[in-house]
Amino acid sequence: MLSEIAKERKLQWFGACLALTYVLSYFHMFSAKIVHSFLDSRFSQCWSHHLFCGLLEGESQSRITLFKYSFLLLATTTLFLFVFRQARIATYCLFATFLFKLLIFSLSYINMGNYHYMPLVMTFVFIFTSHRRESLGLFLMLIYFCTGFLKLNDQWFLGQAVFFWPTIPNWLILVASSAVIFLELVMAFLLLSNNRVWRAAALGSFALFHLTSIYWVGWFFPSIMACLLAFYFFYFKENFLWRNMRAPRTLLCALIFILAQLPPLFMSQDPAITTEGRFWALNMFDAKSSCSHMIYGRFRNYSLDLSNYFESYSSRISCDPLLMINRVQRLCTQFKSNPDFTGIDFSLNSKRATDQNFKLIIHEKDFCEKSFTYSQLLQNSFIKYEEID
Amino acid sequence: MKKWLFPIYSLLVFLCIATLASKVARKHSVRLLDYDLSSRAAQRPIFFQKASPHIFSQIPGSETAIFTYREDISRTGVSSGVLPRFPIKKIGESPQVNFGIHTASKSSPAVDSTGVYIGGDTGWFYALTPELKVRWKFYSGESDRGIHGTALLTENYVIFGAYQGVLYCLEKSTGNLMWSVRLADAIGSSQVLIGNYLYVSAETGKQLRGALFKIRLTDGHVEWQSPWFAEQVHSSPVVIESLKTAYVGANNGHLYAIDSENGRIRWFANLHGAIKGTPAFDGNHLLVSSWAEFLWALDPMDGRIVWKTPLGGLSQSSVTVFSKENMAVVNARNQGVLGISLLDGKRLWQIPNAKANGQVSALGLRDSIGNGLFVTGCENRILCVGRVRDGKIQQTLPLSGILSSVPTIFEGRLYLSLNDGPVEVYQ
Repeated sequence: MLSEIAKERKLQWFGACLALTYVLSYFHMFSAKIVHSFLDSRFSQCWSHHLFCGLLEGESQSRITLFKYSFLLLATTTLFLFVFRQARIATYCLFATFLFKLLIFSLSYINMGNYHYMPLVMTFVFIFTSHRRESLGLFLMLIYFCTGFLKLNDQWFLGQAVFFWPTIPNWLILVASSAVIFLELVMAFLLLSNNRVWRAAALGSFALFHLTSIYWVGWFFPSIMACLLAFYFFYFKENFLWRNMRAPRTLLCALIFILAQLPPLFMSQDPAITTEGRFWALNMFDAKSSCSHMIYGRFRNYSLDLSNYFESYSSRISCDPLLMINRVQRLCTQFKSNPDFTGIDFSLNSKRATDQNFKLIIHEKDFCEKSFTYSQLLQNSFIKYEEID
Repeated sequence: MKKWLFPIYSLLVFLCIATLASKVARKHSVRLLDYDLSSRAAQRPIFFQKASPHIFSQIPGSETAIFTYREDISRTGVSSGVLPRFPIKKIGESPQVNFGIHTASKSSPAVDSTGVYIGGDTGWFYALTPELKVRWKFYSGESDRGIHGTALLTENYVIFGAYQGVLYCLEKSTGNLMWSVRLADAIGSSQVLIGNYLYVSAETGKQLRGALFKIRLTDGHVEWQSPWFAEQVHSSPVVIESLKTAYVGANNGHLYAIDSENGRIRWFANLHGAIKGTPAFDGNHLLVSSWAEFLWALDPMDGRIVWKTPLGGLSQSSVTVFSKENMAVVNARNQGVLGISLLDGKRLWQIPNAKANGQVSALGLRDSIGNGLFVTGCENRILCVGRVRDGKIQQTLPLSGILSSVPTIFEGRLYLSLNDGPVEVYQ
């Protein structure tokens, strides 16, 4: 399985690029604000599976430093091993880095984002498939295609999924938004074209797209995509053999990947709002959502509006029901020992940015008396999605 | 792959995208040559569309207002209460409510037979017994100024807005939350109840905008929001039911007349200076003070200025209107308390105070023989009770702190909340 990597220098270069994504992830994930959510129980946000959540809470500073630098060291070592042609050891180290990253990813829900999802998927494909030239090329194309498909909604067309625009006329926003969708749904296929001109045009278009996106999304996501797109640069002069894309392992991985994108379409009336089914899928910032929540804490002779008790998170996840439920559950735990505490009532209303009316998503009195487990595989009965009269 | 398949696919996708884009533009009434979308996105339109309430219980049946800021829906500031005799003296105080967190006007006590209801500058809202003991309290969360506006009382509920932009409706007896709705970044005004609807103004923080909201009392549903005004709104609205119009002043000096049925702006008048006080309606005219150092009387039908009187200093107090005496009482910076004729706007008397900040509004009431009295801060830490017809001071009371809120009278007792202190009661 690893002989292909050992023999092909270009794969080793791409392996180095994958390792570089983990190095970049270190600097992104261990920024001060994000580290809070790993270490401080007031801020931590668990995934619905709760695996490894709270693993680092209460740990000493030296242990946390060791943990962080271990990841950086492993990723950097992997990078250099690939550069210096130690392919087999490098691949094992890459796998270890992949597992380590999965662990860190699981520490907090605020790590949710495509900029982690995509390198993890590509690493898995790099290590476990055969005919890697075709399978990696295919998967990156599939990722672009799926993200383009997710952008087919009002918010994206109206530019509402973007944080801010310079002052340009509306028609230009519509054209720009449509162009991005066309790029991902059509030009992505040209990345696999054996016609060099078309492939160069597609590669150039994506490079330009990611370069300009720095203005809106910062350095991290474009730098991850640059590392992944480097694949096509390495293989620019080579032809892709379509028959190799039909290799069993490649097909199986592709099928699993496509199937993983489907649950949001079937599980929820609006996955952008309820986020149901998105655990395994690409999670584009495809539809900017607005939300309003009320966390009403009741005590014997007083009551509290706890809605602003927690710090806010990025627009990407700030309205996620899972994040809200985590917060309220933490409050229930915190107040349990207070003899005056009588309960918490919780309400969450959300909508897509361009929708006229909010929808009632969660509405629970005596929240602490009930048990809520957010399922990413099945529909959640407590998520309502109802009109508010 | 057949070479002709991909161009066909590309064309199909292009047509789909073009169709979808045009459908979206039509659905959302986008005018392609305008700049709406970019400006909307640039402004992070958090409250661009209707706010939504969180309803934990609905209010069954109808309720009528028992206590409204400025005493009635015309916001005259004149109570039906009577101060039977002088001198008055302090007979009690509550635990500390305000902590001097800011120097803007504080919430005034809302009083009825069940007790005193008041918001403090740390964000706590208190329900006090008639003896000023805390019965229950509610914390509205962190904000710059806690609770700025004065609560409205109905038979069973208390409604107030907090400075983080949320309007709350609580059960008076228990403090249980009925509903809440976040309208904007801040609510500093005091709501008024007309029929089953509340009218309240709110404002944004980052872009300095304000708007008027009509809210259904039953469940906090937002009936309408007026267009965003070009500046923040610190003033409370007044509603003239017969004209189906609500009026509110903004920091840009505009007094807006809003159709109470649909929230559209009917007219606005430029009063050349920020309007902080609540407009009052004397039955004929709207009376409002502004930072332009005038007291204005406007025709409520069209905003035409009927008269204006120079005050000699900016004013951010609400006008207290004594219809029986045809007098208005207003506070102006560096001038003190002024008595103005409603007939022609002439200044009839003045209680001079060179240190007046023009912030305090007067409470109007009657003495035991029906003479109009006003109660207001007339000097730093001094409460004055004066006669409306000639401004003659009947009594002065030293206060233990600065007064920026409006006194309230109930069953012959006077309630004050100080900037840095408790609620005090006088009799």
